[in-house]
Amino acid sequence: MNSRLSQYIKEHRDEFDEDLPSPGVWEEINKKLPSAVQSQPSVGKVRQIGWYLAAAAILLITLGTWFLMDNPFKSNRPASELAIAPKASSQKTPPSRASIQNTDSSKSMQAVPDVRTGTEKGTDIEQLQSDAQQEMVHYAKIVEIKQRELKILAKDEPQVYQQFSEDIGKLDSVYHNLEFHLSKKQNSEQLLEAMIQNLQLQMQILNKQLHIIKQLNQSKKEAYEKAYQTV
Amino acid sequence: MQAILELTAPILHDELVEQCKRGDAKSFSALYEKYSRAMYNTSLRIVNHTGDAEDILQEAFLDAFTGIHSFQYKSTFGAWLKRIVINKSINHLRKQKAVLIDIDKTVAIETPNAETLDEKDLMLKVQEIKKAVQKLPNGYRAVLTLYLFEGYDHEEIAEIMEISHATVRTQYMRAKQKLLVLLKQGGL
Repeated sequence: MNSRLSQYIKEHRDEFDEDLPSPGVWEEINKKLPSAVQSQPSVGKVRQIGWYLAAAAILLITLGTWFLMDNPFKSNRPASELAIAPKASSQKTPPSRASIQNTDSSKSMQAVPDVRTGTEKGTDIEQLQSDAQQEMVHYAKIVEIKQRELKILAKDEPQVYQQFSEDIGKLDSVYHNLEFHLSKKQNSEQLLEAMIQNLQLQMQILNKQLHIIKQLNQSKKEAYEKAYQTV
Repeated sequence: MQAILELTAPILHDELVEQCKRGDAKSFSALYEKYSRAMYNTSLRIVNHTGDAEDILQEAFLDAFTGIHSFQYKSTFGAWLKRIVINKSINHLRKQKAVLIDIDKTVAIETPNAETLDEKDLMLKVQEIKKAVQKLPNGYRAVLTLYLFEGYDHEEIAEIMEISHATVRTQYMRAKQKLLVLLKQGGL
């Protein structure tokens, strides 16, 4: 099949592409371009959704934290009630998200700040906080899994991924802030609750983000196939 | 972020394409400058009509630009765009119901002893070949230009034109014979 004709065409290939379209073609494209590009399922739109979610979540958490910190009941409590029994200090604070990932859950569950031990309610509260801790480990694990899933799914959308990570990052820093307050032995029950809520929110937002990415990937796939096949 | 980009780049990322994805207007213009001539000639060879080829060019670029976020470097941007242009061009022929129907009808009548034609004796010139290609029936022209000019193999052409490999093969042989006859006639 490698004939003289095909050889000749190969050697002179560029010379065959000598015709030029009229300038009107580009003018038409340029005219239609802005609306055409805007009608795409845009990154901006997704970003906006992410922002709303993050804004709502942060507002909620910040207000919650502020409320807890300035809780009038807090200052009325006797100092002794707030005192924390001296237990192994490194084990007291709940593990950070990173360490949760690496420690097994039974170990993490022991790492409960032991508030108000010494009162008769001690065991109840210990139980409560052990439960809280267990819950936190559970959510933190889910958050880790979902973050990993998101990272894989969003690999074609670095911009969206970055935005999503920033949103979650903000919530995460609030989490660490709560953790810090907890380590300062402030109102730990409510702090623990706020931390759990924080993790739950992270999980919900990650779910939303995963949903958005899946939709985006699907619409991209369809657009790509459509462009390739039916045109 | 860089690492994520690298993961998705089996084909080298095209900076112009990336800038278009970021919505840079100048890059759209630059992409058009870079590819419009080749794409226009590709379409023109298939549809054989300057106005139609310009319409197809416009549609193809608009489709590619609108769908630029869906372009994921499974091929080069040029190959992707060319495929859009070719699909549109073939569809255009199909709308005229002229892709394959005319081929078999013309074959029986013309060039019964074309197989004996020897291309060694032909004087090959770009302009002569262009003229001869333009004189080919639509279906022949499509198969022949996809193979000789655009570099698709028979399997790919079969897929693009939605016909069997065997059909592509026989039609290419006939198209080429017809072209050689036309070239010989032109040279006489």
